[in-house]
Amino acid sequence: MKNKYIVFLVLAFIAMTGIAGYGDEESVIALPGHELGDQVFSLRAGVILPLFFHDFEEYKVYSANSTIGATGAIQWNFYLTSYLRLGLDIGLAFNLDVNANLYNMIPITAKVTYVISVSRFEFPISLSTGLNVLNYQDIYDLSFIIRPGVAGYWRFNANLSFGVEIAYWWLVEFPAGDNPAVAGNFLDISPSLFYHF
Amino acid sequence: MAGKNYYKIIRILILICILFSLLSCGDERSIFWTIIKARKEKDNSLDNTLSIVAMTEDGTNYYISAGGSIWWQEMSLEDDQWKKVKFPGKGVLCTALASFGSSLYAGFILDNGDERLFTTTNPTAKSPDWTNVTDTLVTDKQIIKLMQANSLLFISVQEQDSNYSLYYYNGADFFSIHDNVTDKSKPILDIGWNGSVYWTISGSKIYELNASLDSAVEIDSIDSDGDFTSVLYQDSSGDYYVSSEKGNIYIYDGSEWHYLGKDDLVEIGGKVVAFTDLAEVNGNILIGTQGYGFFETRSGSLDDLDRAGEKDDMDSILSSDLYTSHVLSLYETATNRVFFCTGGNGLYHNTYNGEKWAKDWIHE
Repeated sequence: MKNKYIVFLVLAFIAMTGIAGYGDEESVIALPGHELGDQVFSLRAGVILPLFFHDFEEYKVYSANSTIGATGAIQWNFYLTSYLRLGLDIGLAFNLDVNANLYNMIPITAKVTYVISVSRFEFPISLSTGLNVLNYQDIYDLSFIIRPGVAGYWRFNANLSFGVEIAYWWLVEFPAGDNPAVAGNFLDISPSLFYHF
Repeated sequence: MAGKNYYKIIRILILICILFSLLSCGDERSIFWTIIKARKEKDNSLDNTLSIVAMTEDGTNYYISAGGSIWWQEMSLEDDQWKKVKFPGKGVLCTALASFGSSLYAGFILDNGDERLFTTTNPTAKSPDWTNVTDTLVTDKQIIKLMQANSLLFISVQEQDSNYSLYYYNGADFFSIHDNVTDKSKPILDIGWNGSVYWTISGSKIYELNASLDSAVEIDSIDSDGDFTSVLYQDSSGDYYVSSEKGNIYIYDGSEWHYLGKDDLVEIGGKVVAFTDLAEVNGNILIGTQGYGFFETRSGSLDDLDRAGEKDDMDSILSSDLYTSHVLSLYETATNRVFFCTGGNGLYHNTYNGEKWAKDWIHE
């Protein structure tokens, strides 16, 4: 009984990964790899965890003083080589402070991604950088953002992939007044949908 | 080839300069720093959506009029629960409130629509002994506001013919005040006493009354950019402060006026800020606003007029709803505590020690 169960699991795995030619015409294994000019459009939505803040005067670490928030983004990329793509990422994230006042961030970043492909799976490692528009109460400000991330995707067919991206947000705000420059640290965990064309 | 590289480096440097210019051109206040400094408001038992239309104290308790009811809290207990004062009947709504002598006075609209002034000496009792003030000067008139100045109780009313009048009570009798104290079309919203004369405001006019309240003249040496909303006499400087609903504060130093000016009205986001009330705590002049919390001028100079939140000790207010509240009135106590009576955001208080505000904003 136990052996039968193991055999079933092995067969299921083979079927899912397409090693046995599962759905030949739909399988990405039957598709040519990505090449220069291939494009990807993606949507993602998930949660953003405020981790901590630190300043650049006394280099102190401060509590995030905020709740878990929501985030979403649209992204467009094109392939430079079969494993490297370059693109633009525009996001929106919002959290609440200790008194439930909303603050939001709109990062607009350039993104470079190195894609490791294993069978039907892709594991992009990315780095985004750019500007982030911050708003809280009646204050608007710009910050600098660096956003390294890793992701795992399963290619459903030639056009669609599903997966999850985990990214670390490091945002540095340089206020014009007497307040010190402060960096915000956030972790973004977002299920994503990719459309390849 | 070397030239091309040179131009590339120049472009990159220009881009970096633009990036840092953008990053440093924002607000003087840091959003992240403000969030770090934000403190959770202490929240007492009072409904945070109430509009507080009047506040007073009798030496033992605070009283507020909100949502047609009267609530009280023991002054000595910081976190005391707010309790409702029992009214003289069902369907009664409170429109104005003041403590005078050893009694609490309240303007009521009764369930049959009649408008009356009532008084009680034991408002916190299970069944307070409310007494209907029967003097015809203040009967069947809507009590707009009850104010205290120079040990007199002033009653601002709307008459049955819709005109507005002012009466006063000296603890024994009610009296009319000279007709010239109002243009009749606008209510008298505030009164200031400097030890020798009173100032009242009605619409866009200021009136000066003599000490015996039998003579009143309009002060026409200042033009208002809208209706006046509050008048405050500051003992330490001898100055009168007058606020207007159109972004202006006027200061009269006894000989001449100083004001922000027609071309320099206080604006936020292109909109003129309506000032609602004035108060003084430990030398700090506070100015309530309609929708922008409050402003303050710690030096007494209009050149030093700051919105709450723009000073270092006020970081924590930015995370408070008070920062964007409509402050209907300000109520200062002898212990340098200030209550901020808001429209729709309940009641806040904090203490100013002469140099800075306490970190915690209490949301009653």
